Amino acid sequence: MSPVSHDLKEQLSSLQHEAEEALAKALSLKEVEDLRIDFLGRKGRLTTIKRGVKDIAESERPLVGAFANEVSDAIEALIQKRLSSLKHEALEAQISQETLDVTMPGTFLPMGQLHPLTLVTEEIVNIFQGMGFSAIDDNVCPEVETEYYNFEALNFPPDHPARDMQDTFYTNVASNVLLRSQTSNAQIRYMECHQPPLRVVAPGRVYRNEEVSSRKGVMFHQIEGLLVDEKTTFSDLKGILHEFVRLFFGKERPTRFRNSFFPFTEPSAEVDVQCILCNGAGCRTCGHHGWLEILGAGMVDPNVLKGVGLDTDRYTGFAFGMGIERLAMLQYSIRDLRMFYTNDARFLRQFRGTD
Amino acid sequence: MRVSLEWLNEYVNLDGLQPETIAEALTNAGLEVETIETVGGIFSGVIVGKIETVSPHPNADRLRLVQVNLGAKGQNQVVCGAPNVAPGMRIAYAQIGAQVINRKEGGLFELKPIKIRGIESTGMICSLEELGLDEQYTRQGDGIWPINDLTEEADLGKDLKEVLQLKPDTVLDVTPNANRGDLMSMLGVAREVSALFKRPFKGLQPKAFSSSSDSNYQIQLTEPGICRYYGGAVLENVQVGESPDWMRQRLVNAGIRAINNVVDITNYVMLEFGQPLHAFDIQKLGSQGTINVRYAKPNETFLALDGVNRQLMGQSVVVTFNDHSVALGGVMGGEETEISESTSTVFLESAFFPPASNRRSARSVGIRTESSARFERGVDPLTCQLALHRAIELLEKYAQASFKSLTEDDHRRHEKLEIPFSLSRLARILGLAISAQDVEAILQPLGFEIKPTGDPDQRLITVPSFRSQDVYREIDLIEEVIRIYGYDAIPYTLPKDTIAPVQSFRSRLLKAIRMNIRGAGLSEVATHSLIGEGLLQRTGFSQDLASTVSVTNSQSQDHTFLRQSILPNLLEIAKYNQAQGNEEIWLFELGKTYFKRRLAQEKDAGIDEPLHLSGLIMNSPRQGIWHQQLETDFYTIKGVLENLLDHLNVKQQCRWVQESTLNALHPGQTAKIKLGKIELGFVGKLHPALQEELKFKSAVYLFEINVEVLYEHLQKKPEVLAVESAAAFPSVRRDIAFSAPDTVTHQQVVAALRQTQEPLLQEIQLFDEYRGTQLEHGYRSLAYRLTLQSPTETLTEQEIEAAMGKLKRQLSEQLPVSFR
Repeated sequence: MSPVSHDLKEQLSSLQHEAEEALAKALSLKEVEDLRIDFLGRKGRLTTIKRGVKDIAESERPLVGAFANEVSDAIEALIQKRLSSLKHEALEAQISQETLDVTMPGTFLPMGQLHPLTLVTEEIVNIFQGMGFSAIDDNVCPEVETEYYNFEALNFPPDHPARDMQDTFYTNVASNVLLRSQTSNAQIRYMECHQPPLRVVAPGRVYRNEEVSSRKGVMFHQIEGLLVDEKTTFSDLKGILHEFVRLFFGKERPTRFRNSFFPFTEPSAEVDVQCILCNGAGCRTCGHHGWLEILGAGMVDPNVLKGVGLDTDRYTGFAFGMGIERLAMLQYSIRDLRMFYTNDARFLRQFRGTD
Repeated sequence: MRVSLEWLNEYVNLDGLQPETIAEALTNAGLEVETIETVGGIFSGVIVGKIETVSPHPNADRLRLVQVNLGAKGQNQVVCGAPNVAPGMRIAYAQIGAQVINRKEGGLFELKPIKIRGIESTGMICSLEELGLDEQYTRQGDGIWPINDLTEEADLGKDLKEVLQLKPDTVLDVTPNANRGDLMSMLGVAREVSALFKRPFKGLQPKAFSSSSDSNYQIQLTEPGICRYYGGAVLENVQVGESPDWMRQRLVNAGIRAINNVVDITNYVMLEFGQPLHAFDIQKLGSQGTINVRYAKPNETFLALDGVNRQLMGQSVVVTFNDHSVALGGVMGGEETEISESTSTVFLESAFFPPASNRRSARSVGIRTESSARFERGVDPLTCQLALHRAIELLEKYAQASFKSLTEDDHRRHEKLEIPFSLSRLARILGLAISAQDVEAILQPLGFEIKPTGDPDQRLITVPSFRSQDVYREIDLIEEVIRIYGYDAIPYTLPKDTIAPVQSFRSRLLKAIRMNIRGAGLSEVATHSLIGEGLLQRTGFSQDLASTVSVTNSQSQDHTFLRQSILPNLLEIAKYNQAQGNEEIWLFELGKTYFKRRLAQEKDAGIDEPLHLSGLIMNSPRQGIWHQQLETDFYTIKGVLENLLDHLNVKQQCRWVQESTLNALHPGQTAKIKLGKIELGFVGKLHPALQEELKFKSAVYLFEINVEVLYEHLQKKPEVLAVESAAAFPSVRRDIAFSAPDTVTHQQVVAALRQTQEPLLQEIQLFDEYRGTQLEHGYRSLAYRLTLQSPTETLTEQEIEAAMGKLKRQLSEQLPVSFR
């Protein structure tokens, strides 16, 4: 190797060494970039050294040229390494700077919650929907109703004491206009424009002219149920209601059917469920009977079916009605019906997470 | 009705049956037993004593030391606080270990030796209440019960129950169903027990008295529709006095006050048969005349037995003597002809008043009595004479009366009702087959007659007269059978066919609304639809009187008419919650409102019941306020609504009009919302004056919309939405900013931009409003971000510029704006 070649190689080696030292001292991305220009740029020091290649013997040029490329690659690698290390440090610094107290509260606008009566109504409707019942829309069954739908069509004879069973509110609209005392008007309203097979439930508000107490209000909610078909039996009624009780109260519970009287059903029954608090042992809630009355039911009276033009030889049906507040009170151990209408935020908030 | 088991035992043998067992069986069969009560000597360990001396208590002014002589059982000292203790008085003495009634809490307690204010008291002198005998015996004034009249000197130290011959009895308080008049009698209840426990029923067959004419008294029913039978018996030489003890006891146990033997016998027979009777004093009635039953005449008044002089109505039914009213037929007798100690001749009435007219009559005068409660449910039309004979028999025996005559006017048309009854039909209705033998074993004791027919499935069943009111069809007989057989026997089955339930559009819409508003942070409340004037006054609201539905018979001022807005309720709830210490109140209700709209018909009340959605917000419930404070203002509540309208995809069709017709709202911060041309509702700030009056600590924002408008609008849309694929070409955004007088509204800007019908313009978003020193007073700067997009190509810069130029030009031409 000629001395010229040797000298060139020496220069290249020291350049690499110099670059290594300079990069170690570079503390910012800009400094590293400046060093790249200084060492590897078009007018940089490596280019300057490489110009000497033309002065050496042609036979040695490839060897020296290859060495110059090696040095160039090595410096580039050093630059990349330094860049990556600086980027990493910068990120570390950023992360450390951005570190938060993650235990501080997040920011959000809390969702409201639905009213317990809505929740319980939905739950009841859902259970019956699962058994093939559709919900009748609220606008089908008015709350301000005529005597015809509240009484007559439901087989309440005129001037019959059964009309006193519910203390009815009458209105200034006309002598036959009242506030419905039961959701049973839904039966007639629905049957007037639908043909069997029918399977419906109808929730809504009802009104009774009673003294307000922890168990009674002038307004409360009921849900009516109606099934009319060929071959519908009392045992189907028992089966459907038993299943409802199981699904609503969360487990199988004894039910008791007692004879009762409603003008629009025959035979009629009041249905008790074994007390959910004492499991039948007797406690204050169940009046020490072990049973809680939860609904009234029965086979639709033939007079009602005839009234809406159905053939009673072909069709039979059953109907039931239950108080939603009553069921909600049992479900959530609420002692006073008035709590539903006081709407205390502390009361309502407890129903979060129940739907 | 209160049913004494001691009495019931006379008609059906109750041996070996626990009261609880009877009660449960009756309850299951439809005669609900409310309470089981032991009466007539529930206490024990009480003996007869006599007060010897009374001296003051050294440590208490109101207490006295009483020495009680207990005959063979010696003498004891009792500390007593009763004001009426006096030497020589015979009293009921409770020994140590006796069980007497705790007057404060009810129930029995055991007597123990006690020191009262330092002095030993052994035993207790009892009051009527402490013995539970206050129903049975009466005395004037407070304090201990003197029994000098009921006991003798020789009884001292003897058991009080034995001396007074008190028989403990169990009373079931039962509530017959509204269609069972027959169960308002002991015989009726006995028939039920007989059928339920398969024990023979022993009826009551009184001595017969034949009817005769009486020249002094004629009965001429001119309106048989309101009284189908009237029988009157004349009894002479009546000795009015006390009834025998057993009868008084039974009446008391049945909850009826014992008065005198004549009145007691009419009540007693009513309890036996369920047939109300009435006794007139003939001296007061008149010696000669005609009995009739008619409707009251205009302006007629009547002084009834309860001492109240009542104005009679057109529907009031009266019994008349020579056309003068002497009783409210089947409801109550008159004071004028009342039986008294001096009565010696009695006119005894037994009549059949049909249920409907009797009920109307009783309601017309606002009274409900033991008598009307029976007639309105329907008494046995054939029992009138039987009950009358029974009463005559008892009056002869217990009032030494001599029967003179019995006059009748009978318009009853009782036809025996025979109902074909099919065993297979019963099985089809109940889902349970019951054998012919079982059916017969149930129906016979209830008084039904069963006849076979040629068809083994069919029976012919005759209804007894006392059930003619409630059993007249096959289905009624099916109920008779199953209520006695027991509902328990019916299996649990499920209907065989499945039906897929339908979710209506309306129910989905209502659910979507609830979930959206709830998601926006408002909590649902439930408030009364029936409100009162007080609520409106308290909250500064009023409602249209002409369309208001009022109730005519409310017992409370708080519930007199139906609401036309939910907001007064929401304000009341907000006030309540603020008072409870809640500062952040976000509420909504989705509920009905009520408007009189049309003339009422037989089958249409003429009322519209639109569902309204109302909301109220005060302060912000936002969590994490250390991080970002969020002021609640008009735009917060407007945003709640816009979010809903956007969710329902009707926001574009809605206009907000600055207009306030409600006094309760801030005139400058209220907007009416219009969906197309129809008013949807309004949103606004509670008027500052009202806020102060209602003592709200922060500004309150409200809205109310008519959900029916949304429902009608959305219902018209096609059920299936044809979705277009998203445009394949990118959109671009360009901002414009301009200043304009305050009178230029955002809505006008949007309308002007839309009016260009520039096809590229997609969205218009207001992103800044500025007022301040840079601008003239009364001016503001508005900045909008416009989104442009073509469905067919990527927009070039020239196309964008052209569109923006057109939009700006349009704005400048339409509105006084200057671009920056």
